[in-house]
Amino acid sequence: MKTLILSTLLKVLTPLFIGFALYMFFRGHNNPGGGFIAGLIASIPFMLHAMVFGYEGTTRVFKIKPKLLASIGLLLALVSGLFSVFNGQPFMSPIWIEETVPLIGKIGTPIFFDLGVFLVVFGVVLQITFLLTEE
Amino acid sequence: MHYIIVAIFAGSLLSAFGYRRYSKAVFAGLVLTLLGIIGYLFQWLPDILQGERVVSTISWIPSLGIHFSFLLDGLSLFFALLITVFGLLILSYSHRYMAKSAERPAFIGYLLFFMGAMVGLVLSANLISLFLFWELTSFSSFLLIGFHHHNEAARRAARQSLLVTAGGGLALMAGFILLSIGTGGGYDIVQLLAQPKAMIDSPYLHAAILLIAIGAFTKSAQFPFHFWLPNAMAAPTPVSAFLHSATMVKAGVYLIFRLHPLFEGVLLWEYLLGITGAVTMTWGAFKAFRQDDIKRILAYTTISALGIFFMMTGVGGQEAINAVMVYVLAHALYKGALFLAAGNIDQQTGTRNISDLSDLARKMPYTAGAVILSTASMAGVIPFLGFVGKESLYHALYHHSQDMALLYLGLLFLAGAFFTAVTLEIILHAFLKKGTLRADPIKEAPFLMVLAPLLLAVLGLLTGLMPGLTVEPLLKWAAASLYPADPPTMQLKLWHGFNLVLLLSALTLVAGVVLYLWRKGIQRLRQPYWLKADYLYNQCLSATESLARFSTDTLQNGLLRNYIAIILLTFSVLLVFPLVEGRAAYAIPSDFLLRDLQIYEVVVLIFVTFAVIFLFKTRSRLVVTATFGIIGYSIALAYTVFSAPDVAITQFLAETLTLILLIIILHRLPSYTLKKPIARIKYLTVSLLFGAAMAVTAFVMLHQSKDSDLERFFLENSVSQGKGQNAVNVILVDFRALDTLGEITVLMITMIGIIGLLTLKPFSPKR
Repeated sequence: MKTLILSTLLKVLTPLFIGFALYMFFRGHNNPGGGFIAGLIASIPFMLHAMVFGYEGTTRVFKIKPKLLASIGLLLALVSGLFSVFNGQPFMSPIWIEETVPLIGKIGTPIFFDLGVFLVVFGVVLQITFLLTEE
Repeated sequence: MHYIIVAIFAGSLLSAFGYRRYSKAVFAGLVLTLLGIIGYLFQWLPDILQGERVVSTISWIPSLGIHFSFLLDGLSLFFALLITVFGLLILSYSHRYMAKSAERPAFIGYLLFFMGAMVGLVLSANLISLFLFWELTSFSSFLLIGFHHHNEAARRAARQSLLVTAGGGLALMAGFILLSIGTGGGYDIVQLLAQPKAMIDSPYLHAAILLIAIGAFTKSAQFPFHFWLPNAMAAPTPVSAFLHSATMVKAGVYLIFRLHPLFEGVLLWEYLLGITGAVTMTWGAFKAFRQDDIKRILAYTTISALGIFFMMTGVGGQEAINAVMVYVLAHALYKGALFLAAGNIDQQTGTRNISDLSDLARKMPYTAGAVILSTASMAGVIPFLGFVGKESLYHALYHHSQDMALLYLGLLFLAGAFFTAVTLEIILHAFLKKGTLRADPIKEAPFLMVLAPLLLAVLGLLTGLMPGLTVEPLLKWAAASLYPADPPTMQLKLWHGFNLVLLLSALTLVAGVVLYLWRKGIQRLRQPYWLKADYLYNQCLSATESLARFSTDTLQNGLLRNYIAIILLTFSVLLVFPLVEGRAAYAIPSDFLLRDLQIYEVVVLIFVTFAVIFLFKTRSRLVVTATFGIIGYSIALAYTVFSAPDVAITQFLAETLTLILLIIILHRLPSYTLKKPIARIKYLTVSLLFGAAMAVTAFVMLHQSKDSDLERFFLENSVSQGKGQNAVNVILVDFRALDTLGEITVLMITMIGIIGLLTLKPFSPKR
């Protein structure tokens, strides 16, 4: 499905979507957003790209391994819950660092958990897309 | 105390990997470890003999009251010593027995793994950790029974024992949960035992008793779950000796001992245990006499002895418990020795069938000595511990006031007679008869393999000669653990003088001789095949399989829309029941439709309605996809209107992604196939039902949960505890993060499923 409009537009849209996804990810704790939504947003440009250029075209430009990303995400989510276990607390108790980091805000294990969610969603959606666009 | 369990499990790992290369060193290390553990347990003996209890606890899930906590009192010390001492003997025996096998490291590893689980089980002071170890014993015995996995019979026996014991384990778990609900006392055994009457008043009493009893019955091979034990004789002999005489099958016995104070006096408990035990005892003894394979004979006598334990616990009363403790020890000693001796016979002669054996007294004198000493104990000949045990059993039953006691006494007499007859058959036919093996060059088994059975058999004699000096103190406190309020009463003596009980013992032997002489008649009796428990087990299994095949064929017929229809239908039916049940609570307010209807709500409604109507008109998939998009976006719009921005964003995105995905695959889909009107009506009905169920549910939920505690909790605590102002996201990544973890795991599984489906090449019948 070669469309000139979409393929030109994608050059602009891709960074825009990714930036927006990151923005959604970090604002998620205080405003609507979060890992799940950010993962969906981030996957949209790649989906469109795969739609236009096909599986080969997309994987040639972006060296993404969605399966690997999703697995890393799940592992990250699991590990983020394990920190507290070694601290002697029940599984998944959040641990926060006291200082706030500029732009990002407070850092704690839930952020890593959310990052894990982001990666899983992103990876799974892209994997399905890639499979479907593969001839 | 937990270190001993950790040590055994560590030994299991170590031997599984290190045994091949450093067998001598690892073996020595294991023996030393076990000796150390036995020494450690003995070191508590003086305290225990004062009637003290030792408790040690490691927190596991404190919020649920689940801990790894361990309790050492008379009962658990007795069982722990039984397991570790037997474990040591069996370990040294198997070191030699498996010497030629390449699989020895794994075998020793499994054996120790089992032992660790078993020690953990008897020491556990928490129902949940007890259950955990209980399941570990089922699991490790599966590995051990199926050790000769190239053998079909062994695989089947292993599967069978796992199905039966793990199935019983499920019942046990439910029983434990009911127990903790019923008493309101959590899972701590010490606390439960401290208030033994708490359970009696609970409405869950009988259900809990039934479930726990099923767990114990399956584990301890009680009728009608006894059939797995004789089949499990496919295991290597040390396993049979360890699992099926001293330890695993006694797990159920230990459990009912442990919980007996909670249920004593409840009729169901007394009669369930008593009658099941009595039936098992009689049936096992009878079946034992009809077998030819020595190991199967021993298996059935084990079943019978386990029946005795259950029966006596059901009878209850301190005297009965005293008697049964003595018999537990006596049985472990003689049965362990007999199993090991059977292993010697099997390995040296190549057969275990009594009809093929002869002359063994000359060929294998030490093994023969062990067998004669221990079978004498089994038959209850004076002065062995078996005699002391049987005397105590007779005495307790004879003087007991329960109305079934005399019937039990009669059956016990019968079982004892069968034991004597079995003894005679083994000794006369396999050991003394002059027969076919006379000329064979059969040698005695190696030293370590003779040592273990001989030691056990001699112990049975020594403890029988001096029961008061040797075993009474520990057994006394083991029995007293069941009656913490009363002082221990056990007094063991070999000779009680001439009395009726002694006469009964003597008569048992006479009756045994009579049965032995009449053996042809008994062995000719035929049991119809459809009454055999093993046959019924097979029928159950194949029925399950055909049910599975039937349901797979009907439910998963390859049509995706059919799957979805079934899922939706099930869901709707499940929804309808609670809705109908609680219908009084949500009368529809009369002005419900007219209240505060805003213009944008009307717009959304109109969008959706027109889209749905349009959906039925069209036959093109592209149009359907687009129309679905309209509905999805309208719903997202509705979410925005009702101020749920997170959900709205997710809905918008999910809708977009679904649209893109659908468009990608659209050209690959076949054209509309659903052309028959009848099929359309079928799916229309399902859809309407589902839609109606969902609508009513949504309505009810909106009108029910006005004052939900959860809502307040999450809103109040999301900033203070979750450090975020967006409560939805805080719930997702913090408060209910475990749910989210589950969901993303499901997402991964879905992805793997999709990969499997899409990369699957269609199977071609021609290769």
